[in-house]
Amino acid sequence: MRINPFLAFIWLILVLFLSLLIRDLSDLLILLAVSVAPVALLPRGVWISYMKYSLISALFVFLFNLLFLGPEKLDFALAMVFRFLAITSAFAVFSTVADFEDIIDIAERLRLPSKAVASFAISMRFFPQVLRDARGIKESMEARGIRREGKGLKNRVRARIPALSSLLLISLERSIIAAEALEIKSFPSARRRAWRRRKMSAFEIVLSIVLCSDFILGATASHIPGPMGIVAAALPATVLLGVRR
Amino acid sequence: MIEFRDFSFRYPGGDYALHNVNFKVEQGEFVLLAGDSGSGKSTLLRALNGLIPHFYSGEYCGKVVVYGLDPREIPPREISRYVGTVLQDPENQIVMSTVEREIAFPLENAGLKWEEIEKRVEDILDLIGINQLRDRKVDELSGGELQKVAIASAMAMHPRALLLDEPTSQLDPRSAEEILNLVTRFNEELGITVIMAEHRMENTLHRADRLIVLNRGEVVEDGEPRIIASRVDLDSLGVGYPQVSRIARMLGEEYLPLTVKEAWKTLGKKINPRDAKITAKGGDKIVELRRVSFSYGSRRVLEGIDLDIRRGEALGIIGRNGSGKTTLAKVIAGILEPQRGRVIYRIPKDSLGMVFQNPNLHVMGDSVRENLEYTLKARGENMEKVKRSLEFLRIKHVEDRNPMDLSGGEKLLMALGTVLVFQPDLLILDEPTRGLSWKHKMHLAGIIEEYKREHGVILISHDMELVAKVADRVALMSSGRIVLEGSTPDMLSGTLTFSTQVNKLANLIAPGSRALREEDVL
Repeated sequence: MRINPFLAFIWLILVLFLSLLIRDLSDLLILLAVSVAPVALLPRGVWISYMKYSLISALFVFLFNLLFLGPEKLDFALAMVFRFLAITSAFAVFSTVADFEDIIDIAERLRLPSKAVASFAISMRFFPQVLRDARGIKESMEARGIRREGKGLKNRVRARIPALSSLLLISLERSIIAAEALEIKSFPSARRRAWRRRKMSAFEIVLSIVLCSDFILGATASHIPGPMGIVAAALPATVLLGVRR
Repeated sequence: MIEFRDFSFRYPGGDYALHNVNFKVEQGEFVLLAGDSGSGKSTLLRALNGLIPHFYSGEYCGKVVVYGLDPREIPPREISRYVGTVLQDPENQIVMSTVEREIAFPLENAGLKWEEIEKRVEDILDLIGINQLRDRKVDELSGGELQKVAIASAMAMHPRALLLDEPTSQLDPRSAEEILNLVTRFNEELGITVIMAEHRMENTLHRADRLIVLNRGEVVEDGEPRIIASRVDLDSLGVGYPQVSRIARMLGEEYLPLTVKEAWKTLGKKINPRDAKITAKGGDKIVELRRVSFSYGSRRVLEGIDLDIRRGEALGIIGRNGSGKTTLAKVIAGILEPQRGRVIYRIPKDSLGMVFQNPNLHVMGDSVRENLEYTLKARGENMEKVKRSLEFLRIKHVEDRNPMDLSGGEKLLMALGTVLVFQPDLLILDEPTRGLSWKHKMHLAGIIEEYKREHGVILISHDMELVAKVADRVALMSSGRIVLEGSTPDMLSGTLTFSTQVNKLANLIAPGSRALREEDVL
């Protein structure tokens, strides 16, 4: 089953939003469990490959909190870990189901400044190439018989400064080519019209409303009194407006 | 119609990139733009698609007319309805993630209705013959496939003219031929005007109706390709000839043949093919590869490679894109460790140098000199070698220039300099002729000839003319294996793909001939 990217986006926003609002450890644990639930619908192994690095980072988050706040704040440290894992899990779900074209599509639906979002989303396409370039620069240094960076952090940093300038140069040239390509492909354009916008099925709309309602009810009833509760209820509803457009 | 009227353009802080350009292009013409690196070909195309002056500012004089429009007054997105553009770099000009979406992208921007976009996407996929690629991610495509997608994206707008800026410079011979056939078909069957900047004369000259030669920003020749090639010395302008045309010129022919078929008719009885001679005799072994295998993850890239590399000779490595040539070079250079087999070095391991396809990877400083010095400084060697290297490569006059301001040929020489400066015992060149003009290619050939006298050289290239000129031995790679290895005349003769025009002509006259270069038939 393919998750609709817009649905995944709503999901991401809600998890992000609620993880910042909820403070209770047990509720956060439930949120984490809920954020992992859609993984069952994804291709096997994709989410795990994302989360592998998140688990390592979560360990650092935990240790940092303990280190700076003391062992008496164990609850807080655990809460931060649950928040972090819930957010990264939701991001992993979103980035698995959404290409960068979907991000442009979502921005257009929500009437966000699509030119800026599109530029950012397109630049993401070149991110793996920048990593390849960085590897290429390292290899080109080795190919000149420069294999040692010296001992100590200072020497290593100093040795890498010229490589950074090379990476900057290559990225600059690439960005110029990409910008030229965008210009000759008529971008940006006020007339722009999306070709195959993925519509949400009735089931997906119902699902998103149910999920939002569950979250909102839970959050507002148990934890957020007063105006914040209204904000909590209003934001997902605003997001859902995009579904109807 | 397209027209330049007294057009001049100067980038900020530079000389005139184009000066006093005047010509008209009628609908349906196939115009080939030729000239040395930095002669103004790309600038001319940018003036047509509106990137000048909207993307590149500068001093703009005179007038350009593109189907009645003035590019100064309307943005490139409006001009793209009339003029499609294909850039040199297949990878970076694609902005979407799948083939289908890339083709639809300009149509979406033009605000077409989805039914119209649907129709055009289907139409273009069939026209270009890439329907099987429609759902593929662009990251998975080869250079040739990417360039087809770029052409498809430009053609989807139903332009009246197609501008191509060295569209084959980064492709292997077969992919390049496919792209050129496609462009020729659009021109002949659809009447689309084609204006193409190219360095590969042997693949393009016979296709064009008209040749415009640029030299230092000025149009120095404009007319029927055969007449210009016969009348003007294109070699001295840095453009070069197809090999068969050069032979005819050397024989004093009035009208030059542009293809092997034409050369057979006009030169058949006037030339005498002889076997190509190898001047160098390989010396002692400097690197040996024994049953070397290498994989990227689960993908096997090299399989059971056995190879000897000797001092005093140049080894050419040829084969289609993706056959494992660059990976083999990296294994030899010690950048990658083989998972199986052994690489035996008879020279110090830090005495191997490799020049990468992308010369930008070698830029580590703000000037040419600084880049050469960086290598020596990092290796803890004496700086005296810098001056010698700059003189050997003939780039002393640009030693203080920023690498960003160099032409393609000069940048390659700088990259070569960053390696040659420490005089490696084995020099590896990976696709050094990408986007190089004939003049720079010949300069490079001279450097390799001289360097291989006392060192070993490995040349990875799709350019059979260069391989035939400088290599003493050739290894043919396919699917990660060296399928055949032998002397250059043995390897490059009697093959229909990996051979030179001279050999194809010589084989018509004397079947089995091993002539490869112009001097082998004169």
